[in-house]
Amino acid sequence: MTCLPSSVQASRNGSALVIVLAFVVLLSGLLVAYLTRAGIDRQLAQASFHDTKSDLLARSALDIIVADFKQEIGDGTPVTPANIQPRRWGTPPPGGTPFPNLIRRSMQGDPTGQTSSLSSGPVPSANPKRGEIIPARWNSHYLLPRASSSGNDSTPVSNFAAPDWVLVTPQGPNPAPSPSAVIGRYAYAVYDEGGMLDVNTAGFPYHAAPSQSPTPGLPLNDIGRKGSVAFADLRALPTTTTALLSAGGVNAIVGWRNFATVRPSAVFPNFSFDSPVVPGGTGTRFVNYFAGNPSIGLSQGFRTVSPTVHLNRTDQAFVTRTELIKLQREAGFGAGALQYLGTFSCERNAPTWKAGTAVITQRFYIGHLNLVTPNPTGPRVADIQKYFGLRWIDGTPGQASPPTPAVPGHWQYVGTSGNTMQDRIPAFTNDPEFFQLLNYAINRTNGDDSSHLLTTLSVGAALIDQYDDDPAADPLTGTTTTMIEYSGGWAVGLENLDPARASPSPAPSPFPQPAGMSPTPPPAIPAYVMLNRPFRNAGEFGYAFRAASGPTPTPSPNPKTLDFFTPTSSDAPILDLFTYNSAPLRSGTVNLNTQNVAVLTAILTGAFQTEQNVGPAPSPSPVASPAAKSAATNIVNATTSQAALSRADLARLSSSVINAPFTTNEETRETVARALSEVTQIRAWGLLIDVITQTGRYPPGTTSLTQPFVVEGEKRYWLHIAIDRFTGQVIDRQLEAVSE
Amino acid sequence: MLVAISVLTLLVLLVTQLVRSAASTTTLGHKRNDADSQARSLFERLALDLAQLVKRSDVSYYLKNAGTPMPGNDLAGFYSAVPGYYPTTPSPVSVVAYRVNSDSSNPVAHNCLERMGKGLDWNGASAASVPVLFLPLTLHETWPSVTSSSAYDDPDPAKRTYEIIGPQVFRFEYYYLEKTTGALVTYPGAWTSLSTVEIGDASAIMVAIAVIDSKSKALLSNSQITTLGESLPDYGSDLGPGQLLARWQSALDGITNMPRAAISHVRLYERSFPISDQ
Repeated sequence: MTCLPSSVQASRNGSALVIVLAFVVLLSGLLVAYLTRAGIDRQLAQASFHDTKSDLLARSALDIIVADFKQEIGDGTPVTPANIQPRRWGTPPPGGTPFPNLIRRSMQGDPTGQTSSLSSGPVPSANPKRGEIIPARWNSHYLLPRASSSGNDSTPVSNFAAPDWVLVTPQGPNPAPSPSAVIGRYAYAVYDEGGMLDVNTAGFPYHAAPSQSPTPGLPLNDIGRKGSVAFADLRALPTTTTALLSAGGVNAIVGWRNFATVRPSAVFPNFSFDSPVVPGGTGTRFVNYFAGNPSIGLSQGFRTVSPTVHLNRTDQAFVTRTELIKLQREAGFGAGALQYLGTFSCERNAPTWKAGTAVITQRFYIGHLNLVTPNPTGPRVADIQKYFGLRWIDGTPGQASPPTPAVPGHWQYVGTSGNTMQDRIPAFTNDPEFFQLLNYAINRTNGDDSSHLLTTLSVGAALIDQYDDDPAADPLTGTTTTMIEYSGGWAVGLENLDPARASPSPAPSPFPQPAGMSPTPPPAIPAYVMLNRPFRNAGEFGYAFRAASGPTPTPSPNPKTLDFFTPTSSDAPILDLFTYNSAPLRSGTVNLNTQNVAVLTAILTGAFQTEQNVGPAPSPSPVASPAAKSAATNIVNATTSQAALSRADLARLSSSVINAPFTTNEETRETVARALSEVTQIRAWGLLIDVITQTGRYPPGTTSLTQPFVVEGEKRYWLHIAIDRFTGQVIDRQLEAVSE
Repeated sequence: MLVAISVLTLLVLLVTQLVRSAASTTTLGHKRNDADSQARSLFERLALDLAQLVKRSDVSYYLKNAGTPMPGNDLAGFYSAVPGYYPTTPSPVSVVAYRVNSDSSNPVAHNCLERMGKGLDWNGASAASVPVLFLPLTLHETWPSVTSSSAYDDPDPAKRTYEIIGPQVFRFEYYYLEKTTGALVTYPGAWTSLSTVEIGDASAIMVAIAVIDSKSKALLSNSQITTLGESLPDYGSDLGPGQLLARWQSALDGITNMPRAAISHVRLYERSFPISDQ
């Protein structure tokens, strides 16, 4: 046998080794490539899985939080001032900067009993670790007061405490679980979005002529009469402790929002608008949209934008709060104003004041009063009977011999069906007509009521006279005074000018010839303020004469009018039972129990204290924002100590306002009722629930919940929700996924 | 020597077999990973778009309904609060649309799933740039490309906002979970036309896709892929959860006129996207 030389043998062995190694490398390469790809895919799949898991956890957390509110409503019967509002917890203690919008945050020891002691904020605060939520993130919606007075830094003031985590186990939330059982956690804060101005409806444009200060771009009397939150003056909103929202900022919002309606010139965000005196210009179009055209009422709930198209563009709505925040950045107005602006609101347009057994599911539409003019024809006849229980009777001429006075054309109170004159206000359960509702409001009864028939019909007649204009007269006698005949007598309204009255109207005596008339209009009252125009809100009912003595004893007993300014007023429920807007669901109303002074300030600013404000240079001037702020502060203090249960509380709240110019007389005192009655609500809890959820786990062997939590997925939602406090029903909701 | 050669040959054969087997395994794995990745990225994009869907009754949607039944591949167009391409003064809202491109003259996009993400300007920012439009102005009249499976939103390729998001996705079908009935439906009963599409009527959108990995796709011509897509039936309201994919699988199993190696690697996916605020 021949042996190979050792060098050849070694070479062969080496070759074999190289070949084997090459195969090994090849296989290893394939394996590594495959495993790498599989590993990456697995990580991606895991990320997707955790994202879905955190999304599910977020939705579950929201369900739990909403369920807590519903439970609170269920437990809170009967409704009282103590429970009409959601309970607050986790708000800063007195003495520090208040957080008017904050209702609650998850906090150890809160009434849910589910929250742990772990703060979601970084500990220590200067060194945030993964999974910890810094205060600026918690305030990325700008609903809390900011520490900085400039820029867009959302860091809240120092007395803000971050919400605590609610730890979630497979069995549900647990305040102190074993670390190994924790599968995720969430923390939340809830804000009173219903107590803010809905920026989808609030605010009007400004006109700025060259070298002039911006002035409202619509007639001051439309702003002054209020009736819509669109007439809130957003320039009264503070952006810092010393600065207010600029007209440019307001114009960016309004021009963007109502582009097709108001047709601004220039481009976003530097819109400009017509002067208010331009016929058919910005002001006219704006008022037509928000107050109706003609301005007798609305059926628009403002839950959708106007269908108006201009230059192939439409109006807009803020579809999310994020959009509002981005618009603020783009327009460059102060971020501090965002604390007072919401993007979601919804109210069922039904009263919350209640007496007897009545079930009233819809407020009475003030615009129906426009039907009631003498000598109606066509379908108006049936509508007037349906809504007012009245039937028109033509007048009868008088005769000389035997002397028989003329009977003026007048109304008969017959109720909603039949032709028989009533000797009482009929009982009702639902769908009352005008006089039934007035009687219900003033006399607290929905049963048959014969004892207040005259009073109620007289008040109703006075309201009709306030609403209609002077040409609305009986064709026979020319009397402009509304006269209502009932079984057993007559009720009459009151007009300042009535051609059928001997004085002050210059009429021949007897009038009409030849034998006068019966009944006759009542004597004029010199100080009586006549509107002779459609009401813009139920507060303007306060101008109507009240025939019976009381409950308006002071400070202006003559003339007596409906009283919306004394705390014990029996007329106050009227404020809750009538509406300028017939939409059953609507946006744009503000919770009367808001703690946001600036919001009420904006609404009150520009209000007319008297009807005599009308004119190019109104006199006295409309309510200025400092006076409005004082009034708003008093109102907030009053609702904080005793929450309002209905708009009827506006009379009480009016009495709490003790600063000029609100205190001159009854008319000025009722400015608050007029300004707030149509734009506030009590019924709905408008909430913004800010929830952050994290899925993950504690590492194996963790013994304490304070040790780091391994975050695998995170999700944040802002749930905008409106819950009917009186039924527990969710009226509307909008889920906004927050992308950060 | 002979023994050594024999052993070496045997070893080479064994190693070859091993490599082939390993390669086959990894190829199969890669194909599955390809398809899975494609489906995952598409579904995640859809999830983002639908999570930020503008849900209002006063904006229009281009979604399947009785008046626009969309046989074969479906089209979807809606507003979503996600970033998009090319706005001058970008608002947070974009027009988003999905489609499988059916243009056989478009070698790049044909039989691929495309997504349009057209960024919109703020309202009133300029006369030229279109913002979000509310009713009565509709999505499909303003951006007609959302109604087409081939037309683009701009003749200039550089300005087009369509991009291929699923090059291997050749079938795109969706249906709904109806809110009032809790049933799976082709479209909610009230949706008789585009003007009656009320997004609040649906709790969720179920999206089903068919994906063929790139290696298997190479075995088929574009017309075969088109035929393959057409052989997968539309959703019908008689189908329950998971039954659409089962029906698609049956259809795939019955195909005999295409390479089995390709057909067997068609993968089917389905995912539900909640669109309700509940």
